[in-house]
Amino acid sequence: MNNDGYRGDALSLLKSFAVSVWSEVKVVTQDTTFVGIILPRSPKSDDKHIVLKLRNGYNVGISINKIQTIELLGTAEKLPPQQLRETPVDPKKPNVKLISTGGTIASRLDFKTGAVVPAFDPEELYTFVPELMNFCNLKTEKLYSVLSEDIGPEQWIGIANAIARDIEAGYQGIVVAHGTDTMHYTSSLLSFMVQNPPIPIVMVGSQRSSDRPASDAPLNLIYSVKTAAEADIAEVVVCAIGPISDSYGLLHRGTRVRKMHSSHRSTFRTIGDVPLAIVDKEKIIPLRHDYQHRRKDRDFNLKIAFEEKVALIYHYPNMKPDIIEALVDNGYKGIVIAGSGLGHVNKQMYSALKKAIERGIFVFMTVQTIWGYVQMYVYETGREIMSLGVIPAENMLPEVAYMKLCWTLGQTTDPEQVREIMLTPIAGEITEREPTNAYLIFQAGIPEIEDFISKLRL
Amino acid sequence: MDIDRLKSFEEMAEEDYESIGFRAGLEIHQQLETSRKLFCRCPAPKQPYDNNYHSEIVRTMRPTPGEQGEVDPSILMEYKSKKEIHYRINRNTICTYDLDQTPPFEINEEALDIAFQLCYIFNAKIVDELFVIRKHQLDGGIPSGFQRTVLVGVDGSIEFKNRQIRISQIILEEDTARKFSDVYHTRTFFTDRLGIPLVEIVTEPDLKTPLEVMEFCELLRNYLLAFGRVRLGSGTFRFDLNLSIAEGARIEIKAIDKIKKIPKVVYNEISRQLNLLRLREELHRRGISPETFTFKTYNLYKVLKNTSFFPIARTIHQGGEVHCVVLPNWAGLLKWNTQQYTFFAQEISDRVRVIACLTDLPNIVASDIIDNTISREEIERTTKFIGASEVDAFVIVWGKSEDIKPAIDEIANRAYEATMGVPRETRRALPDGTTVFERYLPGTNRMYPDTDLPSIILDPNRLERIRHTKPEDFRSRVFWCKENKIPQEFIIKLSTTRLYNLVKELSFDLALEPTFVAIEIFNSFRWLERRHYNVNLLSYEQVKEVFRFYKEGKILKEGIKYAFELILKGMERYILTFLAPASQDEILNAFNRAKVSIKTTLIYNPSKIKEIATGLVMQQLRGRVDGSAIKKFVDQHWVKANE
Repeated sequence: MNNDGYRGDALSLLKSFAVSVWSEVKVVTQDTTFVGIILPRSPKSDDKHIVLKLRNGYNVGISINKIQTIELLGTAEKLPPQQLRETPVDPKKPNVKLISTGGTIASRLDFKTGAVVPAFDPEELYTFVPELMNFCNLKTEKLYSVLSEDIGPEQWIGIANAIARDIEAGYQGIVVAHGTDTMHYTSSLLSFMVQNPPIPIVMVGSQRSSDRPASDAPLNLIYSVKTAAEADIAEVVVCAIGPISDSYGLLHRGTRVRKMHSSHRSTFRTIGDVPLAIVDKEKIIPLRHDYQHRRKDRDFNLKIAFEEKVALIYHYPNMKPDIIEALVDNGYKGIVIAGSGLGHVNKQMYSALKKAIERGIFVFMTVQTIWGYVQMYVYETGREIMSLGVIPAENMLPEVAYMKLCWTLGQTTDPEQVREIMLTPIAGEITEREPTNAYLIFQAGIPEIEDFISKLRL
Repeated sequence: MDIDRLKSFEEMAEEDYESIGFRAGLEIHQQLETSRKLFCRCPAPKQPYDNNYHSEIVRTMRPTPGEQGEVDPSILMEYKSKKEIHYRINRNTICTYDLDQTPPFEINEEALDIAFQLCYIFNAKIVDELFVIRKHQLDGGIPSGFQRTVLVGVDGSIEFKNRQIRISQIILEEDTARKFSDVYHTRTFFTDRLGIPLVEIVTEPDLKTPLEVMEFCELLRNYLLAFGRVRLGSGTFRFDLNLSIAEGARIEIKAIDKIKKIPKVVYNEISRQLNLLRLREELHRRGISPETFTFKTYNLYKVLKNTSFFPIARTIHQGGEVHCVVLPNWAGLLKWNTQQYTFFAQEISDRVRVIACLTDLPNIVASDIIDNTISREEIERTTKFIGASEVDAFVIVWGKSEDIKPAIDEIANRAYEATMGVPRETRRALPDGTTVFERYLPGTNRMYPDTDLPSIILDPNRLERIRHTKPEDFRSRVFWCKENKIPQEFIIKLSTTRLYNLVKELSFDLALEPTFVAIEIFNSFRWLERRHYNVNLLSYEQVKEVFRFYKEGKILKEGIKYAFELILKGMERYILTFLAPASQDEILNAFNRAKVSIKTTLIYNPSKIKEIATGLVMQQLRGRVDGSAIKKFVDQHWVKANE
């Protein structure tokens, strides 16, 4: 039975006065009198209080021990759902598809529980950001409703298939709304599954839910829809606000992007390279020219494959080999290590790794420094680790190498083929060179940096 | 009372205010003295703020449909005005939380305790379970677009003029940023006070005259000062008025800079509302009602393209537009008096300035008031062009093409509202005592539960402890002062500063007369401050030591301030040596030296010679002699000396 979070003593009290959630009531306590609407209570809360929304808009919790009487005044009207905006179709404008998979951008405040829940229909978003109409005819589809952390192979494969279907259906661009926490996993896997697409496939999310006035959702949507409709870049990209200010968005290549801050709006960064382009409400300015161009045709290469028994492990000093042994015992087929420094693990691990590789498990090495290449010749330890059969994965980001190994092992287990697929760049996941401006983390406090940022509207 | 003729401010009596149905309440905002901010661990910066900043960031806000699918009018208005908001950031006191880049930290417990103490002081009932609420504000005052606010206490009261003034809410919230400028579509804020804990104390509309509003505001201020754990300095104490008259509307007035100005501002607002009600009557008499209201608009480019009126000429030169809104049958009404110095046209101009962002004044020309704007000839050509007759009125407005449409809408909108009476608004007070439109009055449709923080269930033991440590409030302080015969002129000052506790404890600990202690402390502190000493550096123990020396006769009353000075100079150990009361021999020696110097000095006013001698003796024995004793001594010895 749904008691909107009330239970135990609080629920009995409500029942004894024949009132329930959404009743408008006058509550007389031993101290004072409150008039307001009974709100649902978070199920994790205690059963000693009831929550009232007062007429001044504030919520208060009233201890049930103090309540003397509750008088029913009426029931709060449930208003009809918001009128959704009609979507005019302009034949001159490109058709864009917005596929929603969940996450903050597709979430809104649930006034019942007071939590952010994935419940915001794409149509609602469109009503909320009417500017989207300027760029295209937008079709929306609610494919999934999962939060970042719960996304998995079922959704990945589903999204890839939906994209393939929509490319064939003739859309000029596809936007995928997704949670930001794991967006870079999905973007890299989609880059491998949907190869050589003729149109932009733009992943977008937001760090602040759209029920907040300063949410980044509207701007991110505007930038991503504009990109899907107009950009010349036919790749899987992640679109997100670039600087601290609300001034422009950046397009990051799907295989080189990473979420770098737990809560900042400008959380996405292209790692070890330069982003593809800057996008604002008026224009899209490429920052580089080696991208795949938009094409008129509908050709692309759909390669759906996935092996779930792959692990991504983070090396730390004194890490014990039993971690690897557990993976072996559990039938894992591939391991990506985020190694220390240039790609190292401690000596205790050697025997376990050796055993794993002998059992046919593929082990790839990446770096937990995020920036930089794996280089296992520099130190003797690196050579030793390689001699065990661990394969250095160049400058693939750990998460990207993990997704690529899942995808590769879904296709083949032949050692030569696995090695070749893994180490041949498909969508920019390995770059041949690191430009000198690819590693820029401004160090706060340095006078010239402070001077520079003081002149910026960041 | 005849509402057509409001008596002058001086003539208005309490009955007159009653007869027009005047009611007013107050909303006090007071920053609390805490070391950190309310929802982050940034230090709460001390006044005075400097205007230095390290960087500037830009935000845009948009309204979010509320719980019930509606958008608050104040919020919609801000969105219409399409402001780009700039924040100037000093990173020593601003963190990523303040910029809405990091979720909130748990609420500052110190601030919460202070809020609870205030609830006890104002006899309010503390809410059992506290919820953090987001109060949406699109004006840019907060970078997240909402203010985190907590209702802490309800249903309090304070005695005032033998009755109870009800205090409906005591709220703890984060302070907003300080607006620096608002020009065209750019609004700039300093973020120095952003996030500082602030209490809002809201009264019911129980105040009956403008004077009462002022007196009650002063009383609340005194309560807060007496309470002590509040910040001092400009902008740390702010108040808004809520007032209405019968048939008028609830109006909120912000930004009155001095409590003393309240009566005048309130009187002006009453007069404005009465005048707007009279305007409505006049409109109805002319057959203009909400149902029959009409207007027409014309593009006046052809008529005014060669005008010599600079604001319009410049706009046309810059590619802008000039339009005209015709209000049929409105002749003369744009000049309808509203406040002491303003006409109805001002209300229209305000809306155009705030909502259409045409911030260069003048921003309109009203056909009834064309002084020093466009020429008579241009008015005539305009009238002809739009086919207006002499019973019509019109408003000319100019600006960039994208601002013209909202400007026209607002002109028509404000005129339409006049047919209904007084619109509900938040108004801002100007230094001359009049008010201008700030925004539509916000409703409760902008309050949402904050999902980032859990609710707070209060521990009864904590509340009990706070209740027991509640400081003495203003009224009981005043009572103590009166009981102890502190002179009238010192009572308020003593009761509202931390000197109260000092005086009270000292006089109790050392069994001294409170009046004596109070006067000595006041005078010597003032004397020290004039010499740029920071008296706050004196500890209670040090002050007490000085008074003990006095009590034990080790120093004289005259020595007290010098003793403080020695302490502040770090020469505490010399007090008893330097300030020991002078012996008769020392006085005699000093007197003799005085005589010598008088003899060798040319005296212009020989009749004052004894005073001069007294002064010279005192100078040599600073703080070590009693002035009247010396005077007596000189009186006696001068005669002898001259014999």
